[in-house]
Amino acid sequence: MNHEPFIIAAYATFFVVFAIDALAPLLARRRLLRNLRARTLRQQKRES
Amino acid sequence: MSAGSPASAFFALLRRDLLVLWRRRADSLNPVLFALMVAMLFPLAMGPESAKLARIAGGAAWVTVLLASLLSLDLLFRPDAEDGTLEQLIASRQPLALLAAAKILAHWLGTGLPLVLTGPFVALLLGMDRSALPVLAAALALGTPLLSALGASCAALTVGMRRSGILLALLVLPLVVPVLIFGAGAVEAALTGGAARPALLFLGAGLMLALPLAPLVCAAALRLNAS
Amino acid sequence: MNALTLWFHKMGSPPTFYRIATRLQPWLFATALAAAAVALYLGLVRAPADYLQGESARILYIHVPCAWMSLFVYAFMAFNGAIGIIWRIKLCEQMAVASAPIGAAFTFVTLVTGSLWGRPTWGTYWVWDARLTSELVLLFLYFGVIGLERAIEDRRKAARAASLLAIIGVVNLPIIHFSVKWWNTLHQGESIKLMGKSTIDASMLWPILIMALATKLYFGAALLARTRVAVLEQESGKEWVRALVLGTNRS
Repeated sequence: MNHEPFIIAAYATFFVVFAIDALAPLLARRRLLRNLRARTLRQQKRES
Repeated sequence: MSAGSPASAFFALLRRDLLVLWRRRADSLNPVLFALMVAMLFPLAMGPESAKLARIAGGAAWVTVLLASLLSLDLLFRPDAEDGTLEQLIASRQPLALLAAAKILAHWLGTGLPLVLTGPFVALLLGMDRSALPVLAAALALGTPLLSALGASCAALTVGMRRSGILLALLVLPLVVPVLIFGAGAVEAALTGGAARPALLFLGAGLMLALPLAPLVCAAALRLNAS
Repeated sequence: MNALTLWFHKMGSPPTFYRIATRLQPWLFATALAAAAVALYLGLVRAPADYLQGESARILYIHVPCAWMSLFVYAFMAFNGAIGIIWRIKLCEQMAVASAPIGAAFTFVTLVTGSLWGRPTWGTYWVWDARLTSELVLLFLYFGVIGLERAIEDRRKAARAASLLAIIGVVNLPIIHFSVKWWNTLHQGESIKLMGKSTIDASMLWPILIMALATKLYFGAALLARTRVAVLEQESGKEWVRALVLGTNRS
């Protein structure tokens, strides 16, 4: 039996899963900073 | 009114919980009914061939008891959380772990013990060999308190959540895997002529471990959720 | 107060942690990638195919380190959770919560690569052998911690509840492992052992060890990344976060 598809699938899973795992907090942080920035600017405008 | 001793608090709470369970007998019979209904599902799903059913009867009985005990966990802390009794218990100056132990004991007496009787009945319905019945009963007698203890710990963690059903199952089931393995393993050993004693001893050891620890964990979880 | 205690206290302060974590993170990612590259080169290019298993043994270079990490991260999670609960250190609670998805990822990859390794080697995608079954239970334990944390509204309470659950889980974990192993030997229908008698040759050992190092470094980086987000969320009302948000558009 040709082992290659299994090896490729295994390594692909490895890289895909950890790419997602590494990207998720990055995107979350960007989104959070964007929201916080918008909120802070709105607050400042209101206070001034 | 002066605060009583911890022992008297323990028994007072135990008595009160048993009374409540008695008043709501139907509630504590629900797990039994559930167990019987699930037992009925096995032959419906797998065909009535008695040899096949008899082969899985022990394990099926165990799974049935496990799932039924999962259902009954809701009764443990939710009613008290909803009517404010739980807050009183936490605020009282009695050791919360002791009070939790009383609740777990009452819960087991009210819902676990009936399952200890239902399990063998289910096994018989599915045609399990009679010779393994005592082992099944013994395994359930040791295992259901463990299920109550582990279930209580998780129920304490999710108390106050409105729809905690599936989450509670997700929390409890991995933790009770050893109980299922040793409990059903004991029955399997008895059926195949092996020794059931080691598995029963493991269950006993687990129970010895859980008895002091589970109330402590429950108390910590209840305090955490109440703060 | 000596230097160590002072450092410890400083690390617990959110802005300090955030600053240090931000500086450390790229380095950890970079070294993790480098180590992984070395491990992959040794494993895919230099190492020969296994005598018994053939090429599919190359899957082990990721399967084994991921299996190790799935267990290590759970222990780490419970350890941090315990420190967080006992000494009320918010940062430890947050790191415990942050570890859970990473650990689940390792466990998931362990299961999938184990299954893919099993198909060419033993002819079937799944066997209920002791190791894989234990890993499956472990995956559910992780899901439980993640699910519990997400289900509780109050973030601080959620972190503490999840930490407590992790502690319960870690006490149970050896028991579960033992019971599953016992169960596996009891039902001796399966004479298949997933890690058979093949002694590991040195050429196979190095890729596994270096990949293990890579996964540890990666875990550190990913942990810092997730914890940074948690710290930002928790401290979003504070002055230092406000300054950070306004000072730069992205950081």
